Order: sequence, then C-alpha cells, then structure tokens
Amino acid sequence: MYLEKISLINYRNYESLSKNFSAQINLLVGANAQGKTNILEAIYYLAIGKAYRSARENQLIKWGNQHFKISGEIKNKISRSNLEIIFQNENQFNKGNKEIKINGIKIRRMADFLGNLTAVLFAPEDLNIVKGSPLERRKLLDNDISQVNPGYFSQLQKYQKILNQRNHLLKRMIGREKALAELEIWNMQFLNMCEKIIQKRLQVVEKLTPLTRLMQRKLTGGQENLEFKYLFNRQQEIKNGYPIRDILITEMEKVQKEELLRGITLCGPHRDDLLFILNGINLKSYGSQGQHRTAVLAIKLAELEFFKGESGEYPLLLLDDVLSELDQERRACLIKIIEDKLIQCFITTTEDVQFLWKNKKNIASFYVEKGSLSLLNR
Amino acid sequence: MMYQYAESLTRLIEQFARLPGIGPKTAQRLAFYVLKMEQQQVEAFAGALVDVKKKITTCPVCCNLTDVTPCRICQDEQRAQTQLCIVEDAQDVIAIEKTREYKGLYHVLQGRISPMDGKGPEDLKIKELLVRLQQEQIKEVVLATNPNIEGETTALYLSKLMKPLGLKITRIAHGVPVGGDLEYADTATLSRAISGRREI
Ligand SMILES: Nc1ncnc2c1ncn2[C@@H]1O[C@H](COP(=O)(O)OP(=O)(O)O)[C@@H](O)[C@H]1O
Ligand SMILES: [Mg+2]
Ligand SMILES: [Zn+2]
Repeated sequence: MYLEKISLINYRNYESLSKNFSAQINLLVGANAQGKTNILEAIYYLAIGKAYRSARENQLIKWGNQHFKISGEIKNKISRSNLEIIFQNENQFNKGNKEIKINGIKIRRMADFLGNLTAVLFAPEDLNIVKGSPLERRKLLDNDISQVNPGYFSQLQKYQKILNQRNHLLKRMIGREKALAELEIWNMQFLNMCEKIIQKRLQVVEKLTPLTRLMQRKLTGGQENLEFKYLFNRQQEIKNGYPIRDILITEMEKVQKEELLRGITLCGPHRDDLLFILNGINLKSYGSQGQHRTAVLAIKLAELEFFKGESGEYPLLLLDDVLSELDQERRACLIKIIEDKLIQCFITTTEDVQFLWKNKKNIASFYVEKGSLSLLNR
Repeated sequence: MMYQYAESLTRLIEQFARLPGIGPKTAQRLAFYVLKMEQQQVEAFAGALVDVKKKITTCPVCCNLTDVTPCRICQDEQRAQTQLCIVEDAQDVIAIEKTREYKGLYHVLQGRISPMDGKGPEDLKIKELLVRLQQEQIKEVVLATNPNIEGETTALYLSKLMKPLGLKITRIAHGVPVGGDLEYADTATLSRAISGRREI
C-alpha cells in the first residue's frame, strides 16, 4: 500500500499543500522547525486517527484559523481510496467537530475509518522505548492494534471514559460506604473493557514475539535473543490464553481497599507494561544504549511484518530523524529491507541522504522550508 | 464615560447569555432581534416563558413534566398498567411516544448515573420508582436509558436493584447507535429497538 498524494489545509504550519509522492522512497530534507515532522504526523494521523504528538486537536490548526483538513489518496493492490479528516474548532456558535470521510462519504465511527492506511512510525522518542515510561510501550501496542483491529480504538475510548468515571466515583466515595453498590456496577463495566483490551494486547504480543526475535537475530548476526513479557499491573507476567478475567477480579479485590483510600484506580490496562528481555535479562535495567537501539529497530521491523501478516500488505514506514541515529551497519540493514520489500518510506533528515541508496530511480527528494515542499529531483 | 447600552437592553442581553449554549455575541443578536419583533409577538413570548414556569410541574407519580396532576399518561387507563418504561429525561418519553410502539406507563429518572457530573443513584428518581413497583401492578420493566456508558451503568444498577422483585426486566435492543442519545435516534431505529427489547 502507498500514499499517492496528500493535501493539507491549515494543518500545523501548512496553509495549503498538495503533493504527490513516490511509491517508494520520499526524502524530506530541510533545516529544523520547517515542517518535516508535521508531514509525518499528518500521514500517521490517517493511520491512527489522532496526532501522536498532541493530545488536543485544536493545537494542530494553523494558528489564527478555525479548522484543518488532511486528505490522502491511498493505493493498495486492489483499489484506490481517499481518506479525509476535517476538524472544526469549537467556538461561540459551534461545538468542536471532527468529520471523517472515506471516498467522500461520511463515516460515523473512527473504528470504520482506521485500517485503510497502515503505517509504522519510527521517531527519536522511540529510541527511549526500552527504558522510557511504560506509557511509551503501551502506546506502541495500542497504535498498532488500532490499525489492524477495527473496534479496538473504540474500546480504548470507552475504557478511558469508564476509568474516568470510576476515578471520580472513588474520590466521591471517600467516607461514603453507601456508594458501594454503585461501584459494583462500574466495576462490571470496567472489568469487561479491561478484559477485552488486555486480551487483544496479549494476542498481538504473541504475534510480535517471533517476528521481533527474527529481526533481532538478523541485526546481530544471530547472537541475541529478544523476547517480550507482558506485565499485568506492573508485576505479574501474563500470556495469551491465561484466565484474564479471574486474574483481574483477584487483583481488583486486592487493591480495592487502597483505591477507596486514595480515590484512584489501581489496576487495569492503563497500568500494564511490556518488558524487553534480551538473552533472558531485562533490557531496561541492564542493556547498553546500543543494545536498546538495536532492540527498538528490531521491533519496528517486526511491526512491518506484523502489518503485512494482518492485512496482506506492507504498511508505510515513517522515519523521523532516526536514520542518522543508527550506526552504519544497522542503517544498511534497514535500507536493504525497505528496498527488498518495496515499502513506501518517508524519511526526514537535515542533510540529503540520497547517497545511501544504490538505485536512485525511485527516490523523490523534497526540500522543506517554512511549510512548503519543493521537489528537488525526479 | 464609555457608552453602554441602555439598562433594559443590557439586562435582556444578560438574561439571554445565561442560557446554556449561548455566548455574549449570540445573546446580543437575540436581544436586538427582540427589539425588532412586533409588540404582540414579544408579549406572547414573555407570556410563554412565565406560563411554562407557572404551569409545568413534575408528575408526582412518574416524575415526567406535566401541566395536570397526575400527568396525562399516568391518568390514561387505556395504557397497559403492567408495563413500565424507565427513561432518563422527559425528552426520551416524547421520542418513544413518537414510535407508537409502546403502550405502557413511564418513569422518568431525571438524569443518569455519572460520577463526573456529581450524579449518583441518590440524585435520580429511584425512590419514587421503588414506591411505584410496590404499590402498582407492574409486571414488566423496560430499561430505556441511553445506550452510552452512563445509560448502560444506570440500567445495570436498576436491574440489579429490581432483581429481587421478580419482575420481567428488559433492555431496549441496541438498534440505537452505541454512544448515542435516544432523543436523537430516528423514530424507525427507536421503534426497532423497543420491539426488539431483550430480557436481562
Ligand atoms: N498549530 C500550528 N500553527 C502554525 N505553526 C505551527 C503549529 N504547530 C507547530 N507549528 C510550527 O511548525 C514548526 C515545527 O514543525 P516540525 O515539523 O516539527 O519541524 P521539523 O522540520 O523540525 O520536523 C515550527 O516552526 C512551529 O512553529
Ligand atoms: Mg522534526
Ligand atoms: Zn405521570
């Protein structure tokens, strides 16, 4: 699958942009703060239904305007489709409003929109995935699952709402035993959603594990063995097939007393983690920086294969300033994979990196400056 | 001194601005519109405001809005006295009535369980509901709260509460879009949701 064309209106520092891309390599070259990452963010938006760098959609609107629009022409093996997102800021007269369309037809649920464009993003923040906060690792899983599993996005949203309601209730309950009957009902809703989300994550971890192991071996000449451990509530390892509901119920009972004291929810998928285990050792605490980076590259490459397995086509690969962060060997390995598998790739850099490719036929180089793209070659 | 609107005009703008969803600009527009209206129309408008407040009360039986006590639905002996449909708000009664699918009585909770908005079961008309279930001859309860998280929680809470009473308890089918409001569901969809209700 590839993105043939993108159009942006009032998105970040782009007032109006309309560009066709190469089905293979697209280099976005330019100085800092010119809008390179903004392009990747807009493309990734079409894949995950939100902006990965920003929680609030109104921050994406070009300053001084009231709406933004992202529109992409997607081509895959069998068809062509147009994906469009229009966000209208809230003002005195209107509530904020997000409209999503496929081929010009309005879609009501984001779950029905996602999956039409799949993408793997590799950004500098990802280099911290192994040792950063659990949130980063949950995001990795959630963003991938949302793209291949229609409904997961809605489940996450629903979970967030229930969690929020439950936290409010717990705060209100401090000193009010009476509300226990109400809490029981919220617990039922909460439990159902927890179970669905954790189950999906475990299934995906199970699929990602052999793919990542393979990639890690490729990158290290077969020397290192990388695995994952899904940690429930930061401590208990669980796997696909475990009786998740029972585990959840036991844990919820265990933490209830403390929850009532502190007024917050103390277990659930928002507190889970994914450990990287290298040759049997927790990479987070012991690995070197180089090992962390290799592991991150391995999982990114595994994600490509995961999407291919789920949807039959390779996703787009978005590389934000990371090419220069990899050593020569890893970089060569990455480039070979992109070339061999004909993956459409968007690469941002401050310097031209065309020389890295032997065959320059399928490279489109764009110069990015102050919210405009100009084609350098082709 | 800075020029300001005459006091009566300012007062009207302020009144409009207090309404939900109306900001200062819209309030101004509305006030100027009133100035342009016919005298007669303005009086009819003002009269309607005072009238509604004076005449509309809450039905002591079903907690719906009404201008007679008890309300017309509660008084209507043609309606099935053994069926009770529980809704969140008065608007939902109207939406369900439009479908002509349901011929029983109603109970209006006047809200939904939502801790975020500071609303628990004790803030809803549940005590009134329990009294009815004891005193009237109700055999089937239809839970028609909205198909979103809060409506679902309210329905689950009530079904658990009513379980010992040995009633038939049904929930409207999910023909209504999940996350939606009954009030905005189209009549055909809502018809299907009511006729396809299931026991819980
Ligand atoms: N909502 C917005 N409206 C206008 N400009 C914005 C907005 N958000 C970010 N920018 C601008 O976008 C630029 C950053 O773009 P980015 O793509 O991150 O740069 P880089 O080329 O370094 O990747 C900055 O100049 C910033 O001021
Ligand atoms: Mg950047
Ligand atoms: Zn009544």
